[in-house]
Amino acid sequence: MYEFIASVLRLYDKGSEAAQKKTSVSMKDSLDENINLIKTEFNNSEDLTIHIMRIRTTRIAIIVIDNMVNKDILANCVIKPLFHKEINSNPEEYISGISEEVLITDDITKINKLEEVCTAILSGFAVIAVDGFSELLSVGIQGFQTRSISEPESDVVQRGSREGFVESLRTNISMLRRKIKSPKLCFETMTVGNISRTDVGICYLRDAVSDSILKELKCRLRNVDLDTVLSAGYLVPYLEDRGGVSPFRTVGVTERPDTVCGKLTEGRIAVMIDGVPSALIVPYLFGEYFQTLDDYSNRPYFSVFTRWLKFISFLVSILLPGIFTSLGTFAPEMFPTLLLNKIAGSIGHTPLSLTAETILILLVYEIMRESGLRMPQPLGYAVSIVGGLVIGDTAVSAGLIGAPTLMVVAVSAICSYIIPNLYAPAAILRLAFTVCGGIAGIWGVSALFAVVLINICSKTSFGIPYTAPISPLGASAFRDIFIRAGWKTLSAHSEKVQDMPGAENKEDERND
Amino acid sequence: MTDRISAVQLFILLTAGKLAGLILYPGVTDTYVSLFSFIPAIIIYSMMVYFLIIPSSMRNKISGLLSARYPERWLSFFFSLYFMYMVFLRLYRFYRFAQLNTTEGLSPLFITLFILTAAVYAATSGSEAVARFSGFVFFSFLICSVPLIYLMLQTFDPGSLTAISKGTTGDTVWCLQEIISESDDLALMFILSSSASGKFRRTAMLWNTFILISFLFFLIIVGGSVIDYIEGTDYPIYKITDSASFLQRTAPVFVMITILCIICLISAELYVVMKLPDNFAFSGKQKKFFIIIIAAAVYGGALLVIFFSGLRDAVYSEKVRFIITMLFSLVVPLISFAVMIIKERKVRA
Repeated sequence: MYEFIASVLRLYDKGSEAAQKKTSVSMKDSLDENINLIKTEFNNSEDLTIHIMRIRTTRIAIIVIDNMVNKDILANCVIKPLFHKEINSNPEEYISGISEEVLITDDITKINKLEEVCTAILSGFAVIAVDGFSELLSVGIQGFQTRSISEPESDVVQRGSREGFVESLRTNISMLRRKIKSPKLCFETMTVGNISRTDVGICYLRDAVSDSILKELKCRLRNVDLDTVLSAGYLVPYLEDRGGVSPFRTVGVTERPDTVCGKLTEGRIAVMIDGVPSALIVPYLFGEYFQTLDDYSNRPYFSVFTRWLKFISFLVSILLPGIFTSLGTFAPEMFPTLLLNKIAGSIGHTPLSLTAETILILLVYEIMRESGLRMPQPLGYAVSIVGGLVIGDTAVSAGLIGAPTLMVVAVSAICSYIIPNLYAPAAILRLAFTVCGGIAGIWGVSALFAVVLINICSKTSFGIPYTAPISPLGASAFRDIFIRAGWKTLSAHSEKVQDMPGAENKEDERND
Repeated sequence: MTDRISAVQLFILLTAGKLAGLILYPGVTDTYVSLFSFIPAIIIYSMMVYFLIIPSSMRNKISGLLSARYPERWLSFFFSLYFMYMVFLRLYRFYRFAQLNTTEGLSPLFITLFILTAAVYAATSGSEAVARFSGFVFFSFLICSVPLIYLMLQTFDPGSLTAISKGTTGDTVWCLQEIISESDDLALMFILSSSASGKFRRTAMLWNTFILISFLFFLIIVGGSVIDYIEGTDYPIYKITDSASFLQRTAPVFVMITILCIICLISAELYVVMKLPDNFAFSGKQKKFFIIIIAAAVYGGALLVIFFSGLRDAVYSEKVRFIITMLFSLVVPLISFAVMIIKERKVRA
């Protein structure tokens, strides 16, 4: 057995060595050899376009991917000037001459490795290869179609910018630059994904960010072992701290540049992925789920009101069906008499037990929601109407389900929409609380509540307690968690995320 | 470094547990002592606690200057036994509480084991998780207390304030003994103090005083209004809620707070029980072995205490509990502190 494992490991090591050799292949002096190398690497792909030209006595090839470059710029700023270039007798200076004197673009890099050439071509660069030179030029003339900037659909605010992130990383970066006109705003890019080679941008404010958190983030991104990165969710597990299973995320996701800018000033770091119209924010704490941009646009008293509505709604969305089931099953005397009569009358006329009925309605509701979400929009409306009519009216009048139970599930469902980012954990926890309440009554609900609370309390985001600044308690909890203080107070006591209570020890550990 | 927790978190944890213990199980199970006898006992205890805490705080003060690591192996072993003893007691009491309150179809044993599992989960999540969880529970308790006290004030009887003088001296002594028997948080403090940071002593005083004064007010207000319902009952607060019609619907809140507080306490004790093998076990394997043995012992011991009344009466009689708690909360820390000083002097000499 040991021999077998050792042989498999040896084979694996050989494979890694082969991959290492492949990535470090240098380009040749011969143009034909270089073209063959590239064609082989691309497996003669249909969209790989190679223009071979002869300018006086020199053969030049321009290699691009079809529809990834701007053809006008290619013709006017690259090909046309090349024909006016005098042939330099000194071959070593030929490439430098082209890049410095001929090409009318600013994003020009010399490359001489096959991997670099492939990455450049795939990123929409035009690569210029000259016969007799092993160095190639990559010219940034990307020109692929992108979606224009529009209002984000899942991150809507009442007052504030209507701009949302788009798929292009460069456009997203420019949106942040326009909002924070400071040289302290820094961007770094990394490549993630073994096959997709996706560009990932790290964005932070130099004076605000914690060096140790930034270092840790880069380390985690380097350790990402994915073939492709097609959405923000792919990276989330790699950015979260180690720990047990949890329904809650310790990485924030937003589609709004203004939200990202606000977070950056608090010392947080944004991670933007090329091709994804949203940004990840780290570190992300539990209290941030309840903060929206509108909180800071409205007057403080109204923001406090809406924030407490969110706290209460979240608790109602996860606990209400469970408490209703547990009390209805094991302690009906807890209900006020009139309500108890209604519930008793309703349960008496339905074929299922209260627990089974609640679980059934919750599941039907989730099915309707999911089908409405995935269907084309006109059909989605139809699903909602049919579902609403069937469940809301017919099922109750037919005596299949009770009206109070339907009401409880409906209230719980509406409450869960008040914080869209918490919908997923709320949906699962709601079901779990209902099952526990049905089996073990208020005891089961309480015990599960304790477990969920312990789970939240045991989490950290980049070493910062997930529950900060509530527990451990910090003064900032009374400025921007329980209440939203006025802007004068907030700006006078601005606090960085790394200064949260409970983060000190972790900071020391990271520095050690 | 990993297990360093702030002093505030630590005392939220300890005092929340104490509060739960005092309010929910003030020891009237067997003797039916008037709740008012607790008031002078608590006043005395709140003064005593400053002296009881001295060995822990002094040891903590100088521990950074010492060359050896304390507590020593043999001490850690006995402390882990003591905390297991307290875990069994709390589980048994919770089992009794569940027996009184659960309706048909629910097994109190199942609920107790569920609670124990939740506490084990909390304990294995680390000291910081336990401390933060306790902080949440403590704040929840305070938030829930406000509407409850408001409801109770509806039937507030001002004449009950004079009832403080009621009760005999013997009752007060007995109550004081009961409170001290519940003071395993002092022993917890002794163990955790080496891994706690922050302004330890000052927060200790503040939190203890704050909690005891709150409890005092709670007793005066609640006790005066519902004294008739308490006499001769097993679990005062539950019976208050169960008997007084205006409080009947708040029973789930009490049940929920009880469960949360119990998990706080048991998880803190279990955490210490799991950490102590670091000191008395020699290697990683031995430590793992001890933890497995301890886990089996906790589950097995809980079942033994619940089902064997003879064992329970022997090890949890009032005097035994009082002596053991005094031993581990005051005597052992004091001796340990003295031994530590003597040893250190020898080393330096």
